[in-house]
Amino acid sequence: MAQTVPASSPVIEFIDVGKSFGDNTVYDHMDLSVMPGETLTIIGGSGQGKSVCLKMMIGLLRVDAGAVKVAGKDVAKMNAEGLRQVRRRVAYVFQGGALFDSMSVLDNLGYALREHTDQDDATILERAKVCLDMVAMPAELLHMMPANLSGGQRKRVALARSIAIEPEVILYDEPTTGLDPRNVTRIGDMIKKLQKELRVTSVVVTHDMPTARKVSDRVAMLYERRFPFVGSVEQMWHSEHPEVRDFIHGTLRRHGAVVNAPTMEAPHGA
Amino acid sequence: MKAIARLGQIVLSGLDWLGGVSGLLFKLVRVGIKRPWGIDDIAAQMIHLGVRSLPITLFLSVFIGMVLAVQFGSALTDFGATMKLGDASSLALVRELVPTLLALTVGSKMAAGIAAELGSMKVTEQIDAVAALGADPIKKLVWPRVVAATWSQPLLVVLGNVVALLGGMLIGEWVYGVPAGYFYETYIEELSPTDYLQSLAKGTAFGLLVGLIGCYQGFNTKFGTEAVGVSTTETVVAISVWVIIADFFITMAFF
Repeated sequence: MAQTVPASSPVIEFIDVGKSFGDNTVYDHMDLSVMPGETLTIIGGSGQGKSVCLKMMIGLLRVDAGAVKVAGKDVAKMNAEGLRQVRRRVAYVFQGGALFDSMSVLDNLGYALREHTDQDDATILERAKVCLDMVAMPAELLHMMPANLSGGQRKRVALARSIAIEPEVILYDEPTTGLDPRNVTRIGDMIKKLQKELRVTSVVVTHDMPTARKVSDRVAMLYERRFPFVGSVEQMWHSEHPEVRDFIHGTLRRHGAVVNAPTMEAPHGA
Repeated sequence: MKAIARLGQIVLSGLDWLGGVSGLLFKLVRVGIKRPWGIDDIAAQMIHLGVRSLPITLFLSVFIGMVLAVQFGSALTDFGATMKLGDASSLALVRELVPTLLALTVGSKMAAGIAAELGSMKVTEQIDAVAALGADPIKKLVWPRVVAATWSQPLLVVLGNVVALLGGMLIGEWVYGVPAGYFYETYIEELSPTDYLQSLAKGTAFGLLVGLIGCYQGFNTKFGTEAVGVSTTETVVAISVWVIIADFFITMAFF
């Protein structure tokens, strides 16, 4: 995608998007742009539709109104081959990893390669080893089944699976959810590392503010069906927008009055 | 009024379900006719669905054959016509009991297994992952299961017919004194090619229903801890209802 989209044009763009599930309206006239090479983090409360946003980017969900454009092309108007090409270039790391339980780690890592290329088994094996190495996992895991991996290992294998096909964009759906603090740090470091080494564009959906602070070039906050705040990490910490301030400080309100103490202070230098 | 509204809801949800299954069949035909055929995946599913169902098929079929022979033998004894046991058993077993009972038992087991497997994949986002990695979930997951079920079920029915014959033969020999050779000859003589065809047609149609309903229920599993269980239970109910309905229409077509 980086090859086909000028650096000044968005690689992914939401234009006036509307989306509902039954009576529940998730997006209403929502706009958002993801620029090439950046890491954009989407934050927002549970059930606001952050994951829906990611799924729309690769056509797993369709818009009701407006358009989602990837490399300038409307995802909703793509045929099966068009979507296949988008999914060749935009990888998705699912919240729980979504590794295929019936396949070994090797087969999971080779899945996209078998779908999109004619590579032989030996080449796929080599690529799988490289990908595991990039997420600091030993090659001995290749023949294990996902059920035998820990939560942190599953997330890292999912990360390795997403980079196997050498995507230009990686979408991370709550990559640190359910992990202990050390694994949270490890996954955050890996997102940074992959962005630096592979120069991919990344979109990260997370609740975890330390991870958001660590990996983001820009942060977008989803609130009431739109993104009222999109800006740098520094702008987020100094934002006067009440919802942004309440969200990052974990402030609870009842009838407009604060009922708890802030849980997180702005980082030094931010 | 509430009862009428509830009835209307049931009818609408039934039509919605039927439309969904028909839509899946349409999509399946559309992707199925394109290469690759997915032979490896179909073979793996035939082992999973068909070969692993062999023990239960053998067990059920021999008892189906024995039970029917006991029942018919008892009636025929009253008329002094026990030697007609082979003739009497053959049509009921081959045309009706073996294909239908195997669909209701082995077929339900297959469909529930498919629904549980795909339902778990849906809940853990593995179906979305198949699509996100560039494959078509219908081609990758539904196609091999439906083809394997559609081929496995009639093959199991053929095996079931042979084993049920043996079960009937055992009862004829041991309980009613009908020589095994004579039972076999009269049994086979009574059957025409159309009867075998009817048995196979039922096996094939029931296999298609098993694969299609199992996959549809699995793909439409809702999120939540109870969802897979609900989906599996609904699958067994749906198979029972639709096998009986299909059985009626196929029987009428051969009448």
